[in-house]
Amino acid sequence: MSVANGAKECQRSSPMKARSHPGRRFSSLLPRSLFGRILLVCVLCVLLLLTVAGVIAASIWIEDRHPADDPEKALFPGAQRMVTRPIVQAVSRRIEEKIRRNMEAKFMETGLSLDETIAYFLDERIDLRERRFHAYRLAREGTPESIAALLKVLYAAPPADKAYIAALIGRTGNPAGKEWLKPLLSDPDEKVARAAIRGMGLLGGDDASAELGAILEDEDRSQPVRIESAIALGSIGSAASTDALVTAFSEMPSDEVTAEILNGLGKANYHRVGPVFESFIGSGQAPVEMRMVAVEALSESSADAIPYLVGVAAGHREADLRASAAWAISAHGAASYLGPGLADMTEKEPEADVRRRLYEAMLTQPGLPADRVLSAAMKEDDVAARIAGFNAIGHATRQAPGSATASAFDAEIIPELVQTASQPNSLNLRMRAVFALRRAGTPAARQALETLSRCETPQIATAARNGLRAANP
Amino acid sequence: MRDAADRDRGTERPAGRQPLTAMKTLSIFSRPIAAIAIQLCLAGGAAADGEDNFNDNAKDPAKWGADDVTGYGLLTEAGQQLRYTCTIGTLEDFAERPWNLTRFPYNADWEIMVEASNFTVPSPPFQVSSMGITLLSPLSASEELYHEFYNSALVAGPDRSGFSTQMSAGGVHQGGADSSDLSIDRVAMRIAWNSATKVLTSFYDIDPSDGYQWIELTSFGLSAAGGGTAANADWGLADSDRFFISLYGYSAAMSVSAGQMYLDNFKEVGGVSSGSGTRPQPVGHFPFAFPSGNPALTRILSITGNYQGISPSPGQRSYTIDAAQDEAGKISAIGVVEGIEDVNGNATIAANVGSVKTVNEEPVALLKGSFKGELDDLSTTFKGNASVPVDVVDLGAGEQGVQGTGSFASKLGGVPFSGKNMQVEVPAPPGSIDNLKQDWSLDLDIELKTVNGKERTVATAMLILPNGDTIQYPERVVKYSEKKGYKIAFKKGTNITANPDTLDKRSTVILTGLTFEKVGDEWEPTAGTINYKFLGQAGIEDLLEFLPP
Repeated sequence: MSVANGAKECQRSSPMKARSHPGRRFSSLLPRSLFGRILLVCVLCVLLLLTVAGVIAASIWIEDRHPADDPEKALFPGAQRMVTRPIVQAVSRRIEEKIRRNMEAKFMETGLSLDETIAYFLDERIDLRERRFHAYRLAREGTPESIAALLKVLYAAPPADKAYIAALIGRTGNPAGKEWLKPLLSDPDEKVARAAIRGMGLLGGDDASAELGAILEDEDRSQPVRIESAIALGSIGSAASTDALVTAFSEMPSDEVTAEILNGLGKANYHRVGPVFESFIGSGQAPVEMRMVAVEALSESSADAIPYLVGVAAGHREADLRASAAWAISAHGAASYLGPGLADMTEKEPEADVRRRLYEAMLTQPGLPADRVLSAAMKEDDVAARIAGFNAIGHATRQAPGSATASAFDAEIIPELVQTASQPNSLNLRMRAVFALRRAGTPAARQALETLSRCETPQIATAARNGLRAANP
Repeated sequence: MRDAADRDRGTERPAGRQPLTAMKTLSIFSRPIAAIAIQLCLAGGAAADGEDNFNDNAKDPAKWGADDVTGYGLLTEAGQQLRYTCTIGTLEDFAERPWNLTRFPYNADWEIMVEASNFTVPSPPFQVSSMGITLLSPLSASEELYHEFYNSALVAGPDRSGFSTQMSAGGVHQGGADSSDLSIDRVAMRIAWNSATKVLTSFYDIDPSDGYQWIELTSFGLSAAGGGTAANADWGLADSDRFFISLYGYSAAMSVSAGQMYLDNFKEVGGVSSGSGTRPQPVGHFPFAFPSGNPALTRILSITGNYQGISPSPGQRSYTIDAAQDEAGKISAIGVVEGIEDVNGNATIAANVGSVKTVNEEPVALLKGSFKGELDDLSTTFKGNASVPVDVVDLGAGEQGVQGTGSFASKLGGVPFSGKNMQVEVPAPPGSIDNLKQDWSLDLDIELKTVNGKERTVATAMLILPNGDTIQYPERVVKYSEKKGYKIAFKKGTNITANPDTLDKRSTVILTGLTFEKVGDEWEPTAGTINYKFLGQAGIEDLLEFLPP
């Protein structure tokens, strides 16, 4: 009688007994040999891993193309939020942790244990400039012993070391560090106070925003300290920090402080700060230099600032502001629908300096109306605008090699660019002439780079050689 | 220029500026017979050379030069007086009128007097008003002496009126004397030069209506021999040198209406013809250069050049980046990073990557960029920004580089990840640091030139930027003020390195308070502030720091 038949017999004669040994039926499916069983386990593990990897890959694929937080693209918003999104977030966190570990490796992976690090840090026989480096690890670990050692040294340190350690505390990202930095915010040494402010800014949070906002508004504090607070608030980028900046802005501080407040506000989402900027830029009362700062600060804002910037670039009565807006558009780089509009604006713009910035804004745009840009650039008398226009044409040539524009670039523009780059001229203009050749990347442009690689000016020769290397890696 | 503290005429003064005890000696008992004779002469009152009773209600250009004005101060001949008014009181308002008809010899005796009235009622804590005589060195704006009748409520209040004579030499207050409160509003003032002793003595009369009863206030020795009671300082004058004088009105934090402050019956004896000449204006060629080895000064950096090395992230990749910085500080860059290609498969990545600005007196590269392409054949997007002070520091283990903070958001193979306010450390391999240029210079030329038939002082300048570009500024007429020196704004120059020449609206240099003293035949700067702005960055510093060694 076979084992299987014997088992059937058992089941028939003693059903209760059979129920008490369900594994026997399962085990009958397993290979009999140990090797076979190990092999089976391995196969199952691989299958499991493949399944997990598949789920992760599918989650990444889905969230990449159909993000859960984009109502227009999400496939199954509810399910994605429950399944795919958390999976992708977990993967992201792993990557970010790895990046962070890499960045702080030199502080954390010193070959010393934490106890040894504390002992070394407290050893007054060693110059503090050599010990202070370890403040990072002590602040990052945040154990009672490491904090005690850190604070003991920090508060007794000379100003330069105090400032160094304060900056390190901010870099750790340990929110407990805010309490350690607070006493230093009012340190009589300006460098220490500024380092503590920078540290608070890196650590962030509403409590830090409140502290920094108070410093920013305090007219008794020195201007550099107030400027540092404005910068730190801008780096926090929260609703509370933005509110603090808006409040300080309304109190009309000095131009230098106002400039940094504007730069800080410029980093916020445009929908939060747009009215402040539009009112300030639209006002004829503020000096044009300050309004230029405001316009250029929006280069850091969210993409919904671009339509406003396009409006300023196209139609503001002051040329300096139009130029600033065009530059801010070029620095945004994200919007890829502006090519034809920029060409329109360039054709209508009376100021060469503004046209230069408009050409520069074209450098990130696909689908440029190359023939119109070519026509406009060839009419330029201003050398900076002309070379900026040639860069835009070089960009268009790269996108459409073999086009009429590419032919015109080779025939008409390359000789002029070679002349500009190789003969005495402003180094800035000469470098940009080389950039135009590198952008175009045509055989004739490479030949021109070959010529320039033998130029006597080292910066030009090196830029040309770098271009040749990029073309023939 | 005097500040409000210098003009504190009360009992509370800044430390270190305590006046010597006033010597209230009735001159009737002590003055020499010669002085009596001079007074008799001064009392004549008839309009003649060497005096002005202001009765014509019009400024006589043969006697008086162009007014030097600060704020809303104004001197006007009206009501047969020389009135000082100030329509809007600012921190300091001032008007000074140089006497051009005669000069006052170092090697002969002379005297100057004027009557003054001050009916203002200053309020504490800051209001002050005064009128008086300024004595000026022909060689330097750093030496001066003033004798004035003031009304002050500075600091303590209530208002108090009296006389003060103070002297500066080498740009530093040397001392003086104050009469303390005399509770008067109509007075006469007088200064007298003794050429034998080289001592200048100041006097006042508290009631000129009954003839002059001069009271000596104090005296100053202006040669190496000393001899003054309040202070002594060698002004370095030779026998052939001649002093200049002017009349002035001053107010701080208060408005002054017509008739509240005026001078009258100005007279001088012993002056010699000026030959219609004016006080010599400093001229010459003055080179200035950003000094090396002074980290306290605000640097302007050019970063145009070639950079190559191994990037710290992502994944230790070799890179080459060429950067160009324009006159506004905007940076365009083009480069190659190992393993990275754009969406079209091009290894060349090009972008406008930000700008260099001055933040808190430090050059900072504000960088940003976005990228869409492939990293090691994985689809990649990246958007980030960084703020990096352009200051090469020790990164540890003997490595040099720059440090800053940055934020980014990226997607690699569809996996998003980001970092906020992370430390950015970029090692600067040998050669890269050489791209950072901070040396620049300004060649200032001031000369006399005939413009439209009149002799004018004109200034030109040539600015050589850290990137090697030369900006030539057009000639402009300038005017030297004894109090404020030159103020010269160089704007809208021409970049003569660019081919063809290009107007540069972004590079400006403003010199203020640029004063000189004459050493031998040459003028040498003694003070000044330079406000410089180019390559998108800016600084304000003491001009003397930029003098070549």
